[in-house]
Amino acid sequence: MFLEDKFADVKLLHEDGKAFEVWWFYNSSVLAVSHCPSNYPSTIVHTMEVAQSKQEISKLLNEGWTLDRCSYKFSKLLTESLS
Amino acid sequence: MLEPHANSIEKVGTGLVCSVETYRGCSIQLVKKTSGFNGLSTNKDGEVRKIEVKTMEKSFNWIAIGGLTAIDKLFFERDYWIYFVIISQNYVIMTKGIPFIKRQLAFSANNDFLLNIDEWMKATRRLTRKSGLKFLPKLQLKFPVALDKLVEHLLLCPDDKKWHDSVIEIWQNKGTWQLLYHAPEED
Repeated sequence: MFLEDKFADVKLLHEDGKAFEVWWFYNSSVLAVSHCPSNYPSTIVHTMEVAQSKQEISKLLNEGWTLDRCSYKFSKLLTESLS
Repeated sequence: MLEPHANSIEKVGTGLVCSVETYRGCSIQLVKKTSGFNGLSTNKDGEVRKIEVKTMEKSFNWIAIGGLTAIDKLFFERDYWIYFVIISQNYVIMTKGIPFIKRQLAFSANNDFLLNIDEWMKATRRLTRKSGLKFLPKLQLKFPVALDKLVEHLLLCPDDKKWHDSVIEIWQNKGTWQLLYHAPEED
């Protein structure tokens, strides 16, 4: 249940309208689901440290990804990631 | 103790705006600094807002719009919004750029005003190109009604029509986002 989109802290959409990233924060870790139909396998589930997630979000936003969900909790971390 | 740098205060505001926009069901793309605004927000109906975030910590009655591109966007982009963030209270005040400034400054542009601004910008750009000198114009706006007082006022008197066409929504986060004020839709 907690892995539903509506409980996610972050949802990022790629400009192709198909690929997306959904992240859930739990303590000092981030569970991430990355979906990209043009890759094989198209869906990857992985974990990151929070510090790594800050770098990752910064990179994705610079590449033009769109934020479709940004929880209040995550907005604090986003602040530290903005260049 | 060191005061937080203005840049990091700006980022706190941007983070809060991203959070409230996605809570409202919009998606938001942060754009390059040279765009003249901070983010491009799109709702489910495809309506777009070009959002400039102004974060306020201690003084609530002035802002600056810096750079020709930002001034250009303020006056000539129809979808240009200014979101004021009062970080001590987690308020986000969503305003339509020019209508809000007009209301605050009782500013009534004469017929030539936009033309004059356009000419001034073109002349500045031309001068920059020809001389190699870089001009950094800044528009300082001092508001008679400070933003914190305006929030107080609109929460007490949401029916005050004076602000209905310029201050559209006020949100606050006290653990979750709450819509505190919403201007009635125009007829």
